[in-house]
Amino acid sequence: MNSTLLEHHNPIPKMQSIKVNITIYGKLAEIGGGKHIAILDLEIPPSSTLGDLLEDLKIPMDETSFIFLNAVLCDVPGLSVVHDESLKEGAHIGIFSTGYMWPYQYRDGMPMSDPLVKAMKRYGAMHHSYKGLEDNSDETKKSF
Amino acid sequence: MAKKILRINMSDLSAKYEPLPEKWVKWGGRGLTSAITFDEVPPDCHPLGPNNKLTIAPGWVSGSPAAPSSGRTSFGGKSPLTGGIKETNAGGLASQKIAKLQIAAIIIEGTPAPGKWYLISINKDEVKFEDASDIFGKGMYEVDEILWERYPVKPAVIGIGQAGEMKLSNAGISVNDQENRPGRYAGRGGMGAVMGTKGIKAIVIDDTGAPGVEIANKELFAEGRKKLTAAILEHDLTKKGGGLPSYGTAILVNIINEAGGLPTRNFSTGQFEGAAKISGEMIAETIEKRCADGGEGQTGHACHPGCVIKCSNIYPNEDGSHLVSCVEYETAWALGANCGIDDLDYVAMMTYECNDIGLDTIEAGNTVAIAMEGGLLEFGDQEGALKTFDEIRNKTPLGRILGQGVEATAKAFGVHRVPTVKHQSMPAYEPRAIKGIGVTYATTPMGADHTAGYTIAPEIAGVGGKVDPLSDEGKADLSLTFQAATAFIDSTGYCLFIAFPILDIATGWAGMAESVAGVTGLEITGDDVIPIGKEILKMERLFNEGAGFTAEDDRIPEFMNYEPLAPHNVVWGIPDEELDKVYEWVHNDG
Repeated sequence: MNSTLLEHHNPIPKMQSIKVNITIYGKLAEIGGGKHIAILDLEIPPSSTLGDLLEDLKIPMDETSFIFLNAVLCDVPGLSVVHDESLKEGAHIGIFSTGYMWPYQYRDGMPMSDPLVKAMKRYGAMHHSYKGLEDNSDETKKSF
Repeated sequence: MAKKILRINMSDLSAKYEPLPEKWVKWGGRGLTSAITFDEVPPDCHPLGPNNKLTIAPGWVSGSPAAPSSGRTSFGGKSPLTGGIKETNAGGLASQKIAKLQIAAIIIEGTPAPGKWYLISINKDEVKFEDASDIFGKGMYEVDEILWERYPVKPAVIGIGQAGEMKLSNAGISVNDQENRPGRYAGRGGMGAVMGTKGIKAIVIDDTGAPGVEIANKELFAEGRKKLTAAILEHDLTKKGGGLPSYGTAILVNIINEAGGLPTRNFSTGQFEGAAKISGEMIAETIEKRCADGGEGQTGHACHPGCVIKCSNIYPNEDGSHLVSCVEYETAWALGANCGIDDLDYVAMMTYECNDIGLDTIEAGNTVAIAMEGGLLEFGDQEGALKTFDEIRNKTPLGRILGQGVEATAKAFGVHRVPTVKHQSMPAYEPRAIKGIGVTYATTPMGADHTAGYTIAPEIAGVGGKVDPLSDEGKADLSLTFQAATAFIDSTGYCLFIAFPILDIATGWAGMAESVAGVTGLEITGDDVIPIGKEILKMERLFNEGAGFTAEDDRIPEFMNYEPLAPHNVVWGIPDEELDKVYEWVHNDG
């Protein structure tokens, strides 16, 4: 693969760690050393959540859109409900920057995480973006 | 001056203008092509016979000054691929020019003497029939070039390649773009074959001195188009530098692949290991690299004048020169992942072949995948895949089979995994993983079609509170609502991608409705979208019933009921009874 698909392995294996794979798409790929896409193989503590991982990688949640964990949709633009997802050995995480599209009709019926389903029941399932919706505060979102 | 119908009869080479009948006044785009097909084409006629008609119609707002992203032209008739009604639309130069000539629709009927091929030129003063022997047999790149040399006014060129000449079921209709290249295809359903039966190689539309589109309420139109434009330019996806202009529709490749819904190697699994290499991100990267010091490669390319979204691209050769426009999501998937091919250059070269020969890239890619499964070549054999297009171009017996599309090829090669509904192959969303799109694939009158069911905001659609979009039980109502909304948008002349800003930004929705009402003078509000869309769907559904379709045709292919799809390891599973609910209203609503 060429330079955009930068593969990175963190150099210091940790004791009692698990291995996960992350692909970052769009402008956030710069955080992983890529331009449009960055692929990272990481070792992280066994009790890590997706929120921990994003924080460690310094990925700002207001710049993410769709997030997948093992092919399950866990987040959409503007909802930010992934922080408590627990990660297991061999997990694959796909993180998309803002500006990505995935119209509802092309995701209608996809497997989704429970927190995302709960959030969508509150804010509506068919929107493409949830920016500026009423009662969309960080505090409210953390309750999912 | 009222809009009119241009009726062209190829049996006696006559053309006449007729007043737009009252019954069709309220229709534009898809609504009009479907109304004309419903009213004038016997549903049981042979699609390649003299009783089928090809109708070409711009949308309601096409050609009106500064209506954003409104250059879609609808092509309608009975489909040689599906055997049912078909509307397929494209960008390019045609829509606005036809509309400025104040033509609501061009109806082409009859058939000429065998072996006769014509070029039709239309301008404000006349309709001319010319012998087309000199361009017969040529691909669309050369045809477009010849016709712009012959007509120096930069006209719209609607044409067919060799596939249409052979009347193949996968023949599309090309509309030239602003750089006079083919690639804006009314691809689906084999309507290029219908144009071929009419003996028409190309139609040239010159709007020089045309009267222009009459605006019924200029103030309302201006207000509406401003709101819509502002919404498009504000939304993250459609604004300058947003997702669509940056990565094009192929922005979806990695998303759908992450979701496990990217059909791979003829719908045998839901993820492709080479997806990133054929994605919108890689297209952007390749363009940046090959055109760092200049060149023709471009993202953010407009497929028609006045588009403010600009999701098209020009994919370059190694030296930065034009290779093809455009590599879209469906194209990258069909000719890439679904064939196990992860080299963008080969995807682009095959797209060029489709544009030149005049083939729908979705059906073409699916067909190559079927041929791979059937043993004609191996999955991932990009050289071999590229050569299959020579077979079609050279009109060999194998090429004629491949050009008939997926089902004919599957029969020829003994393949049972056939991803079709109503004889049309599926686009790039796996219904086992993405079940909602499967309901639309199964039930739309068009055959498996990803554009048949576009989302519209729940408060507008009138389904909010009535159904739970997160439950399988609501899928029938949702799909119907989406299909009706799409039928409406397909009638406006606006690109479907305005759906994003009008879904998320309320003023954008209002602007869309006001601009339509402003141009047409019709009393259209947001509440009318679904009822109008359902009227269109009803005509289409009844036509299909007349053509012999029943509820049994509203089904997902059998193999999807017993072959689990990785990585989710799921089968289809939506009951037939749920599918039957989608259109039960047609005979119950009066």
